Amino acid sequence: MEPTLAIHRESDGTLRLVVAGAWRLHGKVPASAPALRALVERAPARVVFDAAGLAAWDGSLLALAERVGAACAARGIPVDRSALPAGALRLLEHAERPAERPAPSPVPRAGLFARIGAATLAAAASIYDSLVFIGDLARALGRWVTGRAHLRREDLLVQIQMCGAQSLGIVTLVSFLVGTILAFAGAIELRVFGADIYVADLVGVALVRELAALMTAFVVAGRTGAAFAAELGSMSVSQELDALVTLGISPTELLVAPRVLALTLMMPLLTIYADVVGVVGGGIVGVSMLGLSPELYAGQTLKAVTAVHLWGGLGKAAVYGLLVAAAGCRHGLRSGKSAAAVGKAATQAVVSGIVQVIAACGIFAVIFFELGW
Amino acid sequence: MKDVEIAVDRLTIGYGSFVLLNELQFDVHRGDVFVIMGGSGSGKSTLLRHLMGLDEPMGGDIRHRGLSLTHGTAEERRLISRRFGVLFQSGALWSGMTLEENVMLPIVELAGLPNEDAVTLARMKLALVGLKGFEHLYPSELSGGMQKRAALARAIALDPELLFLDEPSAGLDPPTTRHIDELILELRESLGVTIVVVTHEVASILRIGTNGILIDAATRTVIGRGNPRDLRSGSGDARVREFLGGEGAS
Repeated sequence: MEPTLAIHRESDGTLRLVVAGAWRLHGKVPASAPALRALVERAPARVVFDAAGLAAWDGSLLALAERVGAACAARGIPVDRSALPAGALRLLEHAERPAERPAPSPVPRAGLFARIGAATLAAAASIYDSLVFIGDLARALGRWVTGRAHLRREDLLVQIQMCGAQSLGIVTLVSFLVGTILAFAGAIELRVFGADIYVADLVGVALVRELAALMTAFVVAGRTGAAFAAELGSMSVSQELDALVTLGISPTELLVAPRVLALTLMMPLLTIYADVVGVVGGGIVGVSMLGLSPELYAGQTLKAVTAVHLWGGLGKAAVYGLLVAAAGCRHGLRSGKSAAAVGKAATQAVVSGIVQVIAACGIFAVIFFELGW
Repeated sequence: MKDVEIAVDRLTIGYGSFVLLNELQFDVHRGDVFVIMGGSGSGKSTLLRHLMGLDEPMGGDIRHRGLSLTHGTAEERRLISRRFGVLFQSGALWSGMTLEENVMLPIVELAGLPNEDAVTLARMKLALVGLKGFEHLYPSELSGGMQKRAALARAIALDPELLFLDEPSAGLDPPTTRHIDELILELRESLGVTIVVVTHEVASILRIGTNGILIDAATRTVIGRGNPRDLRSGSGDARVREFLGGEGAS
């Protein structure tokens, strides 16, 4: 039975709202707007509901009664809802009971200066929080070195597996492609000068000195840094971190230190692997596209790449690993208590990890230049 | 005899090869407040998940008004689930939405109400659970008990024909528990909602239950069935009387 709402204005000033048919939320029910308009256009002496033809009802009828009731209350118009079904009246009465305690009022939007001030304070708090985290981490690592930390060897091994062996696939793909791209890009210019063989120098030095560590750090930030943040964030949501704190165990020691150690240790190894795969990628381009012999390409690479390049690249990789792991763990530990907050923490971990890696790369470039390396 | 809302036929549930509950057989009748009782770890919540079609049973069948939830097509299962309202044990509110948005979402997506009326209805549902004025808050800004109540408001947003409640009073203080129990009874009385409740709060069971089963973790089956008040005093099984705190209970 089609639900209907008829509005009758009677001679004594009564506005009669006649509801009929089956009022069901899953069907199309009449809007309350026409009834509200009738109230506004010409204020009636009173409003009366008539539900004699009502076949069925649910919340859709309650929404109408509630909106009309509120509009009448605001205008001081008496409403007679007694013709509505008894169950509907009871539910309306239930909903109209005052809350057992006052609800907090919405926080008004702050002015411009207040917002600038709040942002400044938040930035200062974030810097302070970072310093506290660095201090905690240094202390935890110091306690690990002296054998006093709550650090489980199994956790460390699991993290080493996750950061190292399980990252090989994506590192292979990315470093191989970077090697081939570098070779192609270099070949275009070097061919003009008949210096094709120096493609091996370009690929070897660029990868071993800078790019292998940098690209691996980006991959690891997206993969492992985000995973650290999500894992620790979820533990925060489920109060697992609180459980550690109440036992007097530092989450930084038990959870952060193994992750940071694992990634710091694995990054140089992943970088060596990326160096080799990238050089092979560049070599395939050099041999197949530029007509260089494999022996010549390999010899030229070994001549160009020095121990300083190699150790410099590996040192940078270890620092990048430390930064990515610390960013992931910090954002995870400081995550809010909701699913959305965990997602936000993972995003922040990736962004902040990559930004820190690029900043560190710039600092290394200046230091290496000044040292003449 | 009232119509059968849910028929459970030789239902066996478990994980992998582990059988949690074996060959359960019971009916939930229309208009019942059907209480699934049992100790911690007895499989109450898992049974509820099966009744809602969230998990696949190891054997047997669950029929909702004659339609098989276990063997039905995806479309049949979707139609069956459109009749549900569910309060999960953890509340399961969407954390990125305010309370009003949480309750509004099913109304806007599935009901034929204009937006202004949907807002009114959502606020009314929140008022029904005692959260008038809290509409603008996010779940993370509420206590666990208030989150539970907001989740109940979302569960009843569309006035479902069948309401599944998993531990509705866990974490609530006694007055709020009574308030929620009154609301459950009111929904049953006013709208004829059939309610399936999982709980081990005996006071609440005795207040709202019109029918139910008591499952036993040791035997992995039903050891008591019927009106909880009758079971409390008249069950021939001492374990049932003990659970419900009746005569002869230690």
